[in-house]
Amino acid sequence: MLSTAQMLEKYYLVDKLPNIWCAGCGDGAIAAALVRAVDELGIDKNSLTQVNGIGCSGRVGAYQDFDVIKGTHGRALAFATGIKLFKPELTVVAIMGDGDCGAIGGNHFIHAARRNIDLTALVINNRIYGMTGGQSSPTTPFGDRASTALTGSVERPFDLCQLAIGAGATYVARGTVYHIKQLQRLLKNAIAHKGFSFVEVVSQCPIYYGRYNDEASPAAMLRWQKESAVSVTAAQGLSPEELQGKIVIGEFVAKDEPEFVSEYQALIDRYGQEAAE
Amino acid sequence: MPDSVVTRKGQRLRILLTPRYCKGCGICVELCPAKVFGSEPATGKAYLAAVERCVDCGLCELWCPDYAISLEREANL
Amino acid sequence: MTTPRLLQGNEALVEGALAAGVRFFAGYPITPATEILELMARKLPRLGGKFIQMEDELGSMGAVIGASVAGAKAMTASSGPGISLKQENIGFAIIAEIPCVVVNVMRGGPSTGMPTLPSQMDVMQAKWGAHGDHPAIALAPWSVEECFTTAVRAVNLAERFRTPVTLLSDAEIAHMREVYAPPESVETIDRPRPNCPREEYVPYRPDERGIPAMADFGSGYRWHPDSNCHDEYGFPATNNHAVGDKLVRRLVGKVNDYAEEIHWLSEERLEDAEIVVFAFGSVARSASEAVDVARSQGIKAGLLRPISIWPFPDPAVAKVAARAKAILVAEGNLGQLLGEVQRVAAGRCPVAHFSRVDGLIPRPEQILARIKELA
Repeated sequence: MLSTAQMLEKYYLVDKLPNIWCAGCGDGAIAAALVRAVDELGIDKNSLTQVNGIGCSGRVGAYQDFDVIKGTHGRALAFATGIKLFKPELTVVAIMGDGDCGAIGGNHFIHAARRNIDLTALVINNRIYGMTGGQSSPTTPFGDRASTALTGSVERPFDLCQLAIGAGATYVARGTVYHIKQLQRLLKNAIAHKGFSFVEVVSQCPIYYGRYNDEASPAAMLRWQKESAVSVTAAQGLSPEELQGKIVIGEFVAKDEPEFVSEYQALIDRYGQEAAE
Repeated sequence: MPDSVVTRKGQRLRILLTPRYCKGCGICVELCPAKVFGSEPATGKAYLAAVERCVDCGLCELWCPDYAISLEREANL
Repeated sequence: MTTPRLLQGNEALVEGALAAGVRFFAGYPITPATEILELMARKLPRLGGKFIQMEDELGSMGAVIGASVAGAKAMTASSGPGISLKQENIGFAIIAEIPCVVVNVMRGGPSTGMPTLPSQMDVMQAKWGAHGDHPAIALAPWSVEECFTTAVRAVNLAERFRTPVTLLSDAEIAHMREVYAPPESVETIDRPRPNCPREEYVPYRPDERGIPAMADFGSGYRWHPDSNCHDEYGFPATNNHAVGDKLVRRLVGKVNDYAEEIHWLSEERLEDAEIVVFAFGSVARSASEAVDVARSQGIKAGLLRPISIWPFPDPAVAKVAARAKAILVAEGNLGQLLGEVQRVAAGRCPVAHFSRVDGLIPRPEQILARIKELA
C-alpha cells in the first residue's frame, strides 16, 4: 500500500495543499482511500476520470491529478453518464455528498442505478449540508439537529444503500471513516465491479453536525462510528428495533446484470454487421 | 530524524509528520491505540510524543484527513 | 449534392448535425422537438455514435457536457420548459468552456404555455437564460434547408468558440416539409486541442483569440473543468477578485470581440429600401412575402433577416438605420428584439413593431398593412 508521501507524490497536486476542509472532516481520508484503491487496482491515472458534485465533497478531485470535472450540484452522475457512454474505456468515479446525491441529484441517482451503467458512485454521508453551514439533509436522522431543524428533524431520513438496492444497483456497500481499511476494500470492489456501484461512507462533520448534536470532537465522532457499526451479516440477525441508530457496514449486493454501455455497444456492433452484410 | 524511526514487524518504520498540513483535529492523538502522538499546547498540532510505543497498526496515516502523517517503510528509508 | 428529398425541418436539422460530426445526443421527450430525439436514437448507433434518453432535461444537458469533455461533438434538443431546466448546465458549459449545441424548438407562453404552437418568445432566454454575465451564440433557421445549414454552423461555432450554441426553431420550421438536397459533405471545425507535452499544458490559458486548447478526457492531459470561477489551471479561485474579473471578461470577449465571424444575415431588396422589415425564422417567411407584395404596389420595402441572432448584428442594423425611412421589427413575441433594434438605431430612424403571440405565424397581409402605414 502507498504511504501518504508516496500517494501525494504520485496522485496529488501537492502545491494545492493543505486542503480546504475543516479540521477533522472525513473528506480527506475518504479521498485518500479512493486513491489507494485506484492504485491497488493498477488503474492508469490517465484512464481514471472523476466527477465531483457541489458541496464539501465536491473538492475531492481538486487536489488530485486525474481528469476531474466538477459539475453542478446533484448532476455528477449525469456528467459521468455522458463520459462513460461516449468513452467506455475510462473508469469513471462520481463523488457526491448526501444532499448532492440524495436530494437535488436523486433522480440521476436512481436512474443511473436502474440503467446499471458501469460507474462508481461514492457518497460521502455526513448527514448534513456542510458547505452551506449545517442545514438538514435527506440523511439527517429523525430528531437530530441542524440549522434548519434546531429542535430536531421531524423528517424521516433516507437509507441511501436501500434506495440504491431498490433502484437496481448491482453493487451496494457501506463503510465508515473509522473502518478505513475496509472502506479501501469496498472501493476496490466497487470500481472493479462491472455495473452501477454504490458506496456510501458514513463520515463526520465535526463543525456543523457535531456542534449541533453535541459531538464536537472528530475523534468522538469516529468512536461513534466504531460503536454504532454492525456488519451486514450480524445485522441479519437483528430486529428493526435493535438496528435503530446502528450503521450497517459491508457489502449488501454484488451481482451481475446486463450493463448499459456494453448493451449499447452490442447494438452498434449489430448495426455495423448488418451494414457490412 | 532518528527519533522518528522504530523497528516493527522486522522492518524499520519512520513516522513522518508534515506540520504544514496538520490542522490539529486530534484524530491521531485521541485514536492512536498506542498513544504515540501528543498535541502541541500552542497550536493543537500533532507531534511525536512516544514513537517507541508505535505498534504499526497503520491507521494514523489512513485516518489523517490532511495527509500530515506518512508511514515510510524500510524499503524507502 | 445528394438527391433532392422531401425533408422535415427537424429531420434536416439532425442530418446537418450529423454531417457536422455530432456523435453524441442526450435528450428527453418534448413536443415539438421529439423528432430530433427519435431520429438521433435511430441514426447515431448506425454511425458508431451514442444516444441516450436521460431521466430529465437537467440530466440530458449534463450528459452532453460529459460526452463533450470526453471529446464528442454533442447535442441536445428541447422546447421552452425543457430549455428552462437545462439552463443550470448551460451555464456550466459556458464557464467551463465545453462546446455543445442546444436546440430550442420554441413554443409560446411562460411554463408549458402553448404546447406546442410556434412562437419566438425565447429569444432573450437564448441570451440570458443562464445566470451571470456570459456570452451567447444563437442561430435561427427559416427553412428546411437552413435547418441543415444552421445545424452545421452551430456545431462549428460551438467548437470554434468553446461555448454552447443555441439553435432557435419553432413548430412551424420544425414540422414543415420542403424539398432539399443536403450536400454530400460539409466543412467542419474541430475544437482546438493541445499538442504540447502534458507538463506545458495550462488548460485555461487562452490563445490570442481568447480560446484555450481543450484536451479530451482520457488523453493524458489530466485537467479540471470547474463550475467555479477558476484560474488558468482550472483551480477554483472564488475569492480572487482579479481572477474572477479576468475570467468573466474573457468569456464574454472571446465571443463578442469576434462577433463578425458569427454574424450571418440574409438581405432581400435592401439596396434602395425605405421600409426595412427586421424579422427572423417563421415570421420572416411572412415578412418576405409582405415585402414582395409591397414592392409590387410601389413601396420600397426590404427585409433584413438575421440567421444569427446572438451576438446581435449591430453593424447590419446600424447600416440600415442610417438610410431607411423606418424599420419594422416583426417578431413572435412582444418586443424582445425590438429593444435591440432600437438600441442600435439610436434614434437615426423610427423603429416600429409588429408582434403576434397567439400561437400563429402572422399572415403576410398583417405585416404588409404595417409596412403601408410606415411608407
